[in-house]
Amino acid sequence: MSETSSSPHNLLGVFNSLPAAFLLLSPELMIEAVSDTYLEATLTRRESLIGCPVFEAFPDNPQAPQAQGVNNLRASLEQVMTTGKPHEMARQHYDVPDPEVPSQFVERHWLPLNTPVLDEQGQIQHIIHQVINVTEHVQAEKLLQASQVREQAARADAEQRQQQQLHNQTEKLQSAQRQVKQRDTLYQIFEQTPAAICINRGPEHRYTYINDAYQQLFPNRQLLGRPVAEALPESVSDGFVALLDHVYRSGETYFGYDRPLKIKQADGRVDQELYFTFTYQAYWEEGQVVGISTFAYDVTEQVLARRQYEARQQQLRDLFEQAPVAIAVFRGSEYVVEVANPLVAALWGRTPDQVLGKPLLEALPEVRDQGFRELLDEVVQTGKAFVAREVEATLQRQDRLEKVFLDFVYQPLRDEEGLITSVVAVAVEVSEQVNARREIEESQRQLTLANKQLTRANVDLDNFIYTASHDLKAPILNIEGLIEVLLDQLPPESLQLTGVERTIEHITGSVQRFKRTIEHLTEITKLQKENSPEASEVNLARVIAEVQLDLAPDIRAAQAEVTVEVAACPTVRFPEKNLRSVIYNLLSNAIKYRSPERAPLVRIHCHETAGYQVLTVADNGLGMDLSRRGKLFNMFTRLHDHVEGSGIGLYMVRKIVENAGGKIDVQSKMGEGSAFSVHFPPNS
Amino acid sequence: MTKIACTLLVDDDETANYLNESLFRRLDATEQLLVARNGLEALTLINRNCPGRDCPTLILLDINMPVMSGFEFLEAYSQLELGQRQSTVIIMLSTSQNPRDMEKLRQAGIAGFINKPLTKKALEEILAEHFEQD
Repeated sequence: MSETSSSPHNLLGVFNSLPAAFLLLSPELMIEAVSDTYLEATLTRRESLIGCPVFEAFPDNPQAPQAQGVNNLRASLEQVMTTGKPHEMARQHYDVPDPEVPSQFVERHWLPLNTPVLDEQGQIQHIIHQVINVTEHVQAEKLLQASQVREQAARADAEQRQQQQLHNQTEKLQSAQRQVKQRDTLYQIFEQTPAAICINRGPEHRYTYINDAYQQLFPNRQLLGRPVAEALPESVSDGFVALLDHVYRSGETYFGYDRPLKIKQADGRVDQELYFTFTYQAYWEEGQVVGISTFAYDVTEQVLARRQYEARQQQLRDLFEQAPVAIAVFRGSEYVVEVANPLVAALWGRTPDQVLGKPLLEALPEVRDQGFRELLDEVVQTGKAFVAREVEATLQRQDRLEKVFLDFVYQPLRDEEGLITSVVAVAVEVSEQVNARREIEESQRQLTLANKQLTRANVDLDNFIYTASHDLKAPILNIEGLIEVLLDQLPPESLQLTGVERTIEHITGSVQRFKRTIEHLTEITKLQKENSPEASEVNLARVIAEVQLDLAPDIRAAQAEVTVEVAACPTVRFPEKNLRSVIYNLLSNAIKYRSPERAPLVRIHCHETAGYQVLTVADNGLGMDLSRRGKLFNMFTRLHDHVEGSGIGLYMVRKIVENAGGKIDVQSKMGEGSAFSVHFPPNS
Repeated sequence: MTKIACTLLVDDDETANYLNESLFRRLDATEQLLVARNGLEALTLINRNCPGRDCPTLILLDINMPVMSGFEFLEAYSQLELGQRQSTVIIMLSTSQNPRDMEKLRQAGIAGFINKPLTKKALEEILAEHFEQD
């Protein structure tokens, strides 16, 4: 230690505090200076080193005979002295004396570099001995090697015992070294595999090895050297540690499939969920499980994809389940019921469980001969959908065969290659509608039948009336004739007797009324027969004039005034004969039911309204109590009895008008008069 | 007024026959008056009398009769030999207004149709139309 100049002193201070381990040696290999880092690494103090020959300060460790630290360093330093060039040494095992315990050494491994310091003449002035302490690294390596050696030894041991062979220590060591080499190779391969691989040791499952893929699964997590429960707390809650414990205890290999692990953040929030398919395999040393090797694949994407697929499948299933129609899928040549929603099951009178997975004819034996299988065959054969409406089927429901009607579609389903693998059936039961319609059809049929019977009855009635009127007519005509003959035969004076003339009057009056009634009956039957005579454009004014002429004697006798205003309807479309009959009846009624208190006034007029031509015959006659109007147009109804009437006229008028598609109504007031309006059907 | 040589009344209604007979008598319209109660009797009578002096030149024929109706009689009559039919005038006389009957009458090829009862006026018209000698 020189303190003669300030400059070297200052330099020495710098050297001492260099952030690396340095020794400064003289050409005689005396220690001239030492850095603090070197002192720290070698567990020495400066004052015991300065001025001391280097090999005196750092002798060989007699307990590590394999270490050649002194020899190797001496050789290196001599080389530097000879060549004047730096020399980098291989890793050196060079223990240092333990300052606490005399004659004991502390293990040290170094990477030394020796560099000469030359003067202007090229003479060596100093040698700088620089070292890097790699002891920890070497120890870790050795630890691993040692365990490998032990493991191998254990295995070799077992083998040896089995084979009853002896191997010496050297062979064991060689074998161990080979194994280590293989391990190294394996680790290299592990590093490159996409599978996540780790090795955990001990009952705490401390990570002793992880490959890159494994670390990538848990970025930002410190794994190596830590127990699993500590490095990945999630593995406790998600059951992985329990599995590891089990494998560690039992030695049984565990295969895990799609097992979830919820990765949590520091605050406990679930960050993401990962899924793994993995193996936990115990490894042994000397017959004991000492650790577990893990091969794991991250199958999160596959699981999520499958989940998504399943969710979609579920959606489809829900759709099937909740669809308001019956849906079934039949697969294969036996039409196995692959899908059956509740509606189709209900339609079949079964539960989905009773039919699913069974061939159609096994699930529904009753449909065997109902042609459905043949339809399915046809759909599969032709590849064309079959649409059916109101097909009848007999199904077993609640222990009885029930006849139902179905609307359905058989749609072939194809696989990726276009082959028809199954048929989907979509069906709606329409039994109610069909039955309802059949009921309607039945009632219509009965109605038609009733109509026919009614028509026949009407014809019978007509024939009866003809026959009756004929059979009644003959005798009354005979009576009439006989009275005439009798009057001719009686002596004239007998006719002069009191009351005889009146009696004869009554007899002839009764005969006349009898004849008229028969006439009217005949008229009515004629009407029924000719209910649709040909309609034509008829000149209304002309027909009215002709009727007036027919009724002229009555009009005159009643001193009635008839006014006609029909310019608004020059023609009406109506069968002329019927039109005449209508006008005749209305006009004659107007005169017949005149009021004795005033001169009869009949007004016939016509106007057009809402597509109808309305002909009105209004009088100032007796009028009627219209509360009985409902009967007014009925047959044989007579509201007045003081004048002749059969109760047929208005019935006929209504019948004629309504048969032609028109209508008739009446306005009337007792003591003031009546007005009958005929609505002729719209011209078409 | 001309007189009919022989008149045949065909009607099952005896009163009608009686009345018609008295009408013919009152009007003195026929030389001879024969009565048949139905078509078959009338046919028998014609077969027997025709041709001949007692063969009817006017037949007043009712429609509805038992055994053989007026129409059936006309059918059978049309099958007779021309000689037996001569120039006989057949008038249908009925109360029937059945349209079916009317249609048949139109097709029957007879001289006329009269609604019962046969009146003096109707008989005079028949005489005037079919038996007036110019």
